[in-house]
Amino acid sequence: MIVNVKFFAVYRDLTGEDTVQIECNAGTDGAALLDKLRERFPALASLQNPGRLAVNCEFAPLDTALQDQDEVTFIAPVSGG
Amino acid sequence: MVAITPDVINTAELLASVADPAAGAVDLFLGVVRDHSEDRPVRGLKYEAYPEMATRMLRRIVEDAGRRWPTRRISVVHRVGRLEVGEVSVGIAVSADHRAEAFEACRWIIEQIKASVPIWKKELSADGEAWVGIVRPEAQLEPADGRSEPPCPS
Repeated sequence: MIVNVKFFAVYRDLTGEDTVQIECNAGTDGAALLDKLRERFPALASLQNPGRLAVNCEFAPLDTALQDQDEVTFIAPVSGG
Repeated sequence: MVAITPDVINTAELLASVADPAAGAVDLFLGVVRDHSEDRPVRGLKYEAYPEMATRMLRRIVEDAGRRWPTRRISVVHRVGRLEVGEVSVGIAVSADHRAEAFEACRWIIEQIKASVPIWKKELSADGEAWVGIVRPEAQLEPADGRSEPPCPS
């Protein structure tokens, strides 16, 4: 299956990408996806706190099983306001 | 009204958007770019949002506030992009029959935004740029920091 990963803020700075498509096995969860992303973008390892997972614009636990075509984002600690 | 916008926040429009003949109180909160962070001078800020998710969450926060307090109308606008010192980064307007609920709802909304809405700011200073609240990768490469891992060969 394919998931669409969107990068914002520090994630975009570290990866140099806005969006990537990642092919992964059915049943892959947020934590496994993060591992995959760290392999592809080693600079991500420097983030001490990876933040929270969001799937299709909603926060979700890191062990959420992803579905084909999900929009997945890692939300680094926020600082709006 | 809820919006994430690159445009200057018009506070008169924001106030007009919560006008209600039944309201006896209007509370306006403005977050403003200040010229320092702790003891460091700051030239400006760069805000970025995950717009779809941030808008959805702002709508939900406004709905929740309306359920928690008997308010009349609520508007929230958050700016994105490059902001100079003194510019408004976020504006919240709440109208209610009485002042207590207007104050409380307004305060609660800004706290919710700061806690969880996917918006980030980068401080621009003479030293460079840094995302607020994020441990800078460069810091880990500094040999003076005893906790650092040696840098990976690139």
